[in-house]
Amino acid sequence: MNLKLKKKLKGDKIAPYLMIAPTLILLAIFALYPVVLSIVKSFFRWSGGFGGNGINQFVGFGNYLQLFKDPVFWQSWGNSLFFMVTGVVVNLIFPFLCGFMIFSVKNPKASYRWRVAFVVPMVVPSMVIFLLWQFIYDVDIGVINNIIRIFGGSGVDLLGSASSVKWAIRFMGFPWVGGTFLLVYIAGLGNIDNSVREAARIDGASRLRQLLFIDIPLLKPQFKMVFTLSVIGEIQDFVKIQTITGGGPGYYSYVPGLYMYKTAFDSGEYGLASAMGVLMMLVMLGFTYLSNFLFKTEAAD
Amino acid sequence: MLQAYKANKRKISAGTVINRVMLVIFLIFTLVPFYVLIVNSFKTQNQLLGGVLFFSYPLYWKNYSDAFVKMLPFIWNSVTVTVVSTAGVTFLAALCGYAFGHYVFRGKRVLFAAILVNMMIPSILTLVPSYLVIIRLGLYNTQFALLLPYLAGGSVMGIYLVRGFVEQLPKTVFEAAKIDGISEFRCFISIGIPLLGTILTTVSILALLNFWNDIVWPMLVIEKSALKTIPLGLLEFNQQQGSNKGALFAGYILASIPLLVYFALNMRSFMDSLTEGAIK
Repeated sequence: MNLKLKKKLKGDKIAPYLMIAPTLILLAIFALYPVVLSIVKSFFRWSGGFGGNGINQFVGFGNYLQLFKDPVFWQSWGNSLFFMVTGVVVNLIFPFLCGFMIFSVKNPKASYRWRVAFVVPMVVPSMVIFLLWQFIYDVDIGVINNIIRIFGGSGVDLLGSASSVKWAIRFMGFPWVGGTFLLVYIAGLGNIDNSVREAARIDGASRLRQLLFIDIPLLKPQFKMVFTLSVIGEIQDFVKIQTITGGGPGYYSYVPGLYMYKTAFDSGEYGLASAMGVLMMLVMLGFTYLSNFLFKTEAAD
Repeated sequence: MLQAYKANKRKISAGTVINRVMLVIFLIFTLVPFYVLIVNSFKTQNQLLGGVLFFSYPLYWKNYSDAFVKMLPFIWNSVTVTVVSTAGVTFLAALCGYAFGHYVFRGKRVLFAAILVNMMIPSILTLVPSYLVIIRLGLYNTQFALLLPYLAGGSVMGIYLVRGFVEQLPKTVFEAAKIDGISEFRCFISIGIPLLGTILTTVSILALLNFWNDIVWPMLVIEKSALKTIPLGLLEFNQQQGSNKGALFAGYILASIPLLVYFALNMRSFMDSLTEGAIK
């Protein structure tokens, strides 16, 4: 009896396996297998068929070499670097400032209302936001050109000219405060021990000095997270660009994700596209490593 | 002393004023695109050509009925796909996270690592091969092409959250039930799930937002108009509706309403979940 009870308390031997099985099978088919496939096939010329259908020829590092010689590929990475750098700068500053101001609202009800107000836009489908900004920039009837014409200027094609297209894409979503990064900063500010601020205040430190010497240094983990997520997000986010410019004019807003998409689904060169995916992953890993280095946190602090 | 107090108070309120003014400015700029959206959703094409910055009268309500007819099937598709996959992800995450948090079994660490490693794999790497897997399985242009990968990828984060939560629960809660001879699965359903309430709300809201907003994946695997979700439907509408932008804007608004309503009804848990999801 006692033994039986013990066995029961330990639980059925197979129960946990049965509980995990469905998820694991789905992950194996739709996540883990694709990872292996994309790494392996990045060394092949591959037309996408399975089981000997179509082209499937081992080319070693051929795909990678082809990419390194491809000027469009380099241009797309150049553009991507622009979006990464500006994206990181924007996300480190604007949501932080806004979060700091919301955090400074002492009345908890008012503070909550402010947070809600800035989170609501997140609920709107991102496709709506993209199309809306496309309209704002529209050369004929767009909002910006409407304003310019009121003051007697003539229409500018911000998305259609090489010099402005990247900046126009970056300015989408201005002032870049509505979203999860805002909540990250507010949560981080809330976690800082109030006695630290209190001590500084008694010592006569102004709010600005507190911000510079207490809040910002103590928010290092949050800044690190925003840095990493911004870079990863910018590298991967090609749908926005595909929707509003299609990578144009020319290749002036082309990014690696979009190039990969077109290589696979327009040209059918799945091996080459896989190599692009692998390179993007490596760059992301590199930046994650860089963020550990940039935002080193001393264990003792 | 009273004067000092007053001076101090005045100083604080000056800072507060600046603070509020800045917040208001931020909010106004954030909301400008939505103002543009609303204003132009009530215009005929001619009114729109006359200017897009302010309301033009009479308001042209017909845009909304036109857009409603067009958008309703897309909205319905998005709602069904999102609801089914969110429910599925929440259940799988609960089941799997419970198994990892509650039991001791051989291979636990390896299996958990096999699941967790998916958090570190960027979706862009698997985009192309996942598409080919869907083709191979004959799921292209079916709702399963959305549901199955959502169930797979969507539950990873949830499993992690649930496991952490279950490990904190006292084992004694479950022991009493097991002595009574309840099966393992019943124990999970009738004792586990109710205790997991708050964390499952977080898991479901995060999953819901992801699925609702997804653009890339449906764009790859759904071509049939009858199966399109909101983002794809908006693109289709956008291409057809060049000559009447007003109806298009009405369509954007209608597409935003379902989640807005959901948000309004579950504001507290929505805000908490977003914060929690952002930090983890």
